Amino acid sequence: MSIIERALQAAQKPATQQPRSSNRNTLPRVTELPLPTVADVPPLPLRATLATGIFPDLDRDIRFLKRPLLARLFAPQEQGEQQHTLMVTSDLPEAGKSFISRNLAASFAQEKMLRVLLVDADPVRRSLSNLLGVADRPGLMELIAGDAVQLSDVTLATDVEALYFVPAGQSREDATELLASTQMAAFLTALNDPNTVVVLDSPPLLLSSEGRVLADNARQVLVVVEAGRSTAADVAQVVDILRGTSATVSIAMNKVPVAALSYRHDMYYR
Amino acid sequence: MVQLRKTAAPDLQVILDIARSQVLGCWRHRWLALGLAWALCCLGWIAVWLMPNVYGAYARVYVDTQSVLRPLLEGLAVGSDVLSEVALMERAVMSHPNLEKLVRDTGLGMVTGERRETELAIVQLQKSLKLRRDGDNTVTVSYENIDREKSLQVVTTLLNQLIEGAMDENQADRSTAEKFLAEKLKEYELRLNESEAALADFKRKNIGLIPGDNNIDYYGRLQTELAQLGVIEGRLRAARNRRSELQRQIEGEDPVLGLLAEDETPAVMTSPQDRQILELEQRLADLRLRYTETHPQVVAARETLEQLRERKEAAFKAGGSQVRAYSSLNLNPVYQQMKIQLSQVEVELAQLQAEYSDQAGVVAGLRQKVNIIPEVEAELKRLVRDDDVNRSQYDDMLRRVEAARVTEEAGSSKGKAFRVIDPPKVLADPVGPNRPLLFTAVLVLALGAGAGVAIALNLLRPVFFTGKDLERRFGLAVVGTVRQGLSATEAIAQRQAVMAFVGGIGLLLVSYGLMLFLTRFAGTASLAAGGLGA
Repeated sequence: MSIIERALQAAQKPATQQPRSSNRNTLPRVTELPLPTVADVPPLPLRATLATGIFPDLDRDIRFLKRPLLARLFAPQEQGEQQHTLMVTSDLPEAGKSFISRNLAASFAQEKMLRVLLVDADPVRRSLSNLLGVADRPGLMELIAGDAVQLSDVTLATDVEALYFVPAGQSREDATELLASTQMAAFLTALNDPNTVVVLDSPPLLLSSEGRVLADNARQVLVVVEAGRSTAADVAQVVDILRGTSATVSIAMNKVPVAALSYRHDMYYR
Repeated sequence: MVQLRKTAAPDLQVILDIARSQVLGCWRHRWLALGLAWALCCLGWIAVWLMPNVYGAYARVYVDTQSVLRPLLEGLAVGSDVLSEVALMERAVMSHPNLEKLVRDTGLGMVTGERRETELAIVQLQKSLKLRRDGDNTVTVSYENIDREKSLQVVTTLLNQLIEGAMDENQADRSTAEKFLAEKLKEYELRLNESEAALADFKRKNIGLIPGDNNIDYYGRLQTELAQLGVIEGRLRAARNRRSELQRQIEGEDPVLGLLAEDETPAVMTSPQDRQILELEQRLADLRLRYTETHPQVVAARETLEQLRERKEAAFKAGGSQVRAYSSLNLNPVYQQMKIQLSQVEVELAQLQAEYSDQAGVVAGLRQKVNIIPEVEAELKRLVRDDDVNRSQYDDMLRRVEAARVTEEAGSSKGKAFRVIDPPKVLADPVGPNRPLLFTAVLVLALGAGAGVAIALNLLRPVFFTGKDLERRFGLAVVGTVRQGLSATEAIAQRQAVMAFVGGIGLLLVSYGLMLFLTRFAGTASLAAGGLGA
């Protein structure tokens, strides 16, 4: 519990400094209130992995995706809660969860007054951690396992402003159980903050059971459907699973081939 | 206007979107489809290559549908259609018994000799044996078999069977016609006999009522008889007049003729006894000259004379004056002649009266039959007509039978209803299988199968390509669509993959072309081989 509380304190530190007010324009920028990060690690080179560098149209697609998601994340919540956690999942692996997660996170971070914590919540594949070369560092697993680690000990700065990264940590045998544990829920609760968005890069829903619990905890779920691969049956199953949770489900199509986009669509974008 | 576009546009757009998504969905399985097409093509083409060559034999025959029946029954029966006769022949050839005979003759199904094998061979024959009508009367018989000699043999055998069968059939035709004609002839003969007998019987029964050969009918005859009756009556009247005149003259008031000569010839006019006495006296004188008075003859003559004299005296005493007057009249020749004439007229009159009564009887008889005669004549006419008709038909039939006999003789020398135009011949080139067509079919089927599999898989496991697809399927709102971002190398790889796929299809088409080329080459090779073999 002490770990959780400490994490909570650390997370809520900017929030306490920032009095709650409806008038956000008067508030200082969140970038001025950085999260405590591990000092000896240089900012992770995340920018280079973003879609912006690959294909300018992709960047635009991400931005269009971001708008409704932000609207949902910041919709009025019960009892004045301030949980802004988006769980990014899919039916099957390789659907582009990590890609969507980091791009969305970077895009969120561009919003004013928002800081984004990107969490690699897939301890099996750890694709983001691997991508950023921090797979060997302690991360989420250590944090929720209670191995005397503070959030500040695992949070890494990136080369994107206001975007922080929590690696998956060491792979364990009880990784799935840990993700399904109440400590995970406590971790997310600890990150309740009006200016903080947590993006969970989650395991695929159909291959493991923890996704369901994660969805309960996250409340906002973005299902990435891979164009031309996710079958109707898979999507239907995912929809069924999520219907059993309290999460609000959004769906995004990924890897849509340009050929599938209608003429009108193309014209609209270009 | 904006609203109009809004309502009008989506339909086509939706259709386009769905079509695009479906095409892309199928495109996912392109490699599987291509592989399947390749596999099927390879298998199919090998199978086509391995198919045995089929050799075709054919022969052309002229079918003489003008069979012997035709001229014989001209006008008697309705002739049948030429084309239908050929069709009938075709059916007869393709009939089961005929084909069985053919199979037996050619030894087609004789490998194991089983019944089932024969049946199989018959079915095969039914399929591969073809009779095609070229012109009006020309029929091409063709047969295909993987064995060149066999196909020739089948056609030759069939042709022989046809010709033999036709001859049999002709003979059968002829005998049928003859039998028919003979029956008809007998029938007409019978009828003719009947009518003739009826006619004769009728004539016998009505013998008095039937006009003679000079064709005078009843009324003519009646008139003739009446005229004759008139003639007889006239003659009768004339005879009666003559008789009455003669009687008047004989019994008339002044029999002048005899009185004038009474004085001049009293001595001359002696009685017969006088002349007898005179003669007897002369004879007695003669006898006295030769004989004595006592000679018996003289005595007899003297006695006779005495008797005569006595008789004369007695007669003279009885009626001297009368005898004298009578004898003087009797002795008148005119009177005597008139007497003779009178008696002649009497006789003639009696004869005429008999004739008249006869003729009157005939006329009366004819008059009596005035009601029967026309009926009899009508009946006679009918009988005669029947007889004539029967006789003419009988004659006609007799002629026909003669003609049939002549035709048969002519036909047996002329020969067949089938004439071979092209004798059985087997083509050097195999006529089948149509490998180019089969290659094409295999290619089309293989490509179709590939496409079909891709489509089936896409239908079995539908996927989504746009947010619209998801919305249509689940009614879920899609918050965003992220397109596929390809790095330069990825784009190149994808393009290469597409090119590889296109190349795969192209290679398949090239292989197809190669197959066609090889087929032609193989065809010429087999032609050369066939030429050498021949």
